[in-house]
Amino acid sequence: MNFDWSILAAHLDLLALGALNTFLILLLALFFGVVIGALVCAGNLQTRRLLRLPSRIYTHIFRTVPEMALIFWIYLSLPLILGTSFSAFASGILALSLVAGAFLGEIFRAGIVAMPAGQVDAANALGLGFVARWVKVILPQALRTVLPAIVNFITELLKMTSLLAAITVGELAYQAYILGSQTFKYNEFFTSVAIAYFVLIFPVSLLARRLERRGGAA
Amino acid sequence: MTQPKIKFDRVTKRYGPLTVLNQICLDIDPGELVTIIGPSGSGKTTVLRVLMTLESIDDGVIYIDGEPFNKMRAGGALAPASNAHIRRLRARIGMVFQNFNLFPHMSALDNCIEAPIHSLGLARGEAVNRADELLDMVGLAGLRSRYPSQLSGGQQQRVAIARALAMQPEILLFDEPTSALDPEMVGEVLQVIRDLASAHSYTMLLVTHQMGFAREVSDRVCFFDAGQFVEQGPPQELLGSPKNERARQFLSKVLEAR
Ligand SMILES: Nc1ncnc2c1ncn2[C@@H]1O[C@H](COP(=O)(O)OP(=O)(O)OP(=O)(O)O)[C@@H](O)[C@H]1O
Ligand SMILES: [Mg+2]
Repeated sequence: MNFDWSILAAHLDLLALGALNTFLILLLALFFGVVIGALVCAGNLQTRRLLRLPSRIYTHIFRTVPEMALIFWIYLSLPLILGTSFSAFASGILALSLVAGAFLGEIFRAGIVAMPAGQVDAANALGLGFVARWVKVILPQALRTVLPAIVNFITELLKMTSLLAAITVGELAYQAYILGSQTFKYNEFFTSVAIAYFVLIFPVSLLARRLERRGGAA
Repeated sequence: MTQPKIKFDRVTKRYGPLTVLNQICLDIDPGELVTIIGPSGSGKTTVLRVLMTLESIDDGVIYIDGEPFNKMRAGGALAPASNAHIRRLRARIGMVFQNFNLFPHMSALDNCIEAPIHSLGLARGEAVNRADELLDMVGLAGLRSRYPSQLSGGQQQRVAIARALAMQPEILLFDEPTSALDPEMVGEVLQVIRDLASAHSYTMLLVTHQMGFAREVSDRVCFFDAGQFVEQGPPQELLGSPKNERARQFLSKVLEAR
């Protein structure tokens, strides 16, 4: 079996485009995921049970539905309900953002709940207002606690982006599939793309491990 | 007749079915140092926490300088206090906690300037100057850039005292300020409190199990039990020959344990 390097070189432009799309999808899903996650978390921290309910339901749904089913559902079924269709790209971003919001919401909540109640007492006793209390006292500590979990989730999200190949979003895995089927050089394209994912994810997951260890030592 | 600095007027606090403060009354004069003693779980911390407005109260009125605190005057009657009203009066009170509650992600200096900048609106330079003076006063001039995790318990509690003083309060609350400390660090914190009591005009409310210290610095000692101030008086009298039976039992137990 010989490995055809030249075929990779010939289609480097499409592979690069795929990598760029993967990166873009990751960033967008992460951005919307953080926004949704913050809202979900705010709901989950309410003292009244009724106010917590929407966040609870949201979290349960999007943490349990398999991502692949959700992606297909949003791309194929949601347009039937809404009467308009979105591009595959937009559908994919929506699906991953909803999932990211559920996971990040739980991570944020864990960080805030883990903070000793005395910190808020001290902030209140010092007369810090709502904004200063959150910006200066609560968020910096909560984020530090959950940073490893967030970085870990980013690696999961990066892997999830490859599922969008199933609805023809032109990210890295999809480009490998298309190029492979056009040239019948599946081995070359999927091997190199697998290595590319590894090269992207491995350093990030090393970073997460390191942050975890540092957190444990402090 | 001087106006009491702090006045509890039949203040009641409940946690669910548990009545922790049962219509308590207490007047504290300006500049007075009042120590609260009593059995564990009797509600001493709660007295300080409701005064600091960290807990709401179910009934009664607290007055600061004759002004209702948890309520405000509206016409002839008392209405629920607005947030602005509570914030204004709360700024006269500072609190030091049993577990220090320093902000762990800020240096000693930052712990002492954050609130003055955000709550008092001080310029950063001025806040730093004042914080440095206070850290110097509690004997930590050289440690301003250390983080709480790099300080001993006694040093942390002294930073916490400086942090409370940085807000320029008139009333200081201490909740067992030395009970989380190793024995060899108790003295340094007590010394700071002693200095505050003798050289400044703060009105102080102190919860402690250090009976010797209470006897030395207090103007008045109050024995708290079962939701009420059961007996109060000058330290010699109350600690030496309490009239109340429960106070006697409590004190004999505490003194035995030493
Ligand atoms: N947030 C809370 N919810 C329910 N019960 C509480 C709460 N805080 C305190 N309590 C209860 O109120 C009572 C008084 O508590 P408090 O902390 O004021 O006692 P304390 O006199 O300071 O005790 P210690 O000497 O152990 O510090 C206790 O029975 C305690 O369990
Ligand atoms: Mg207590």
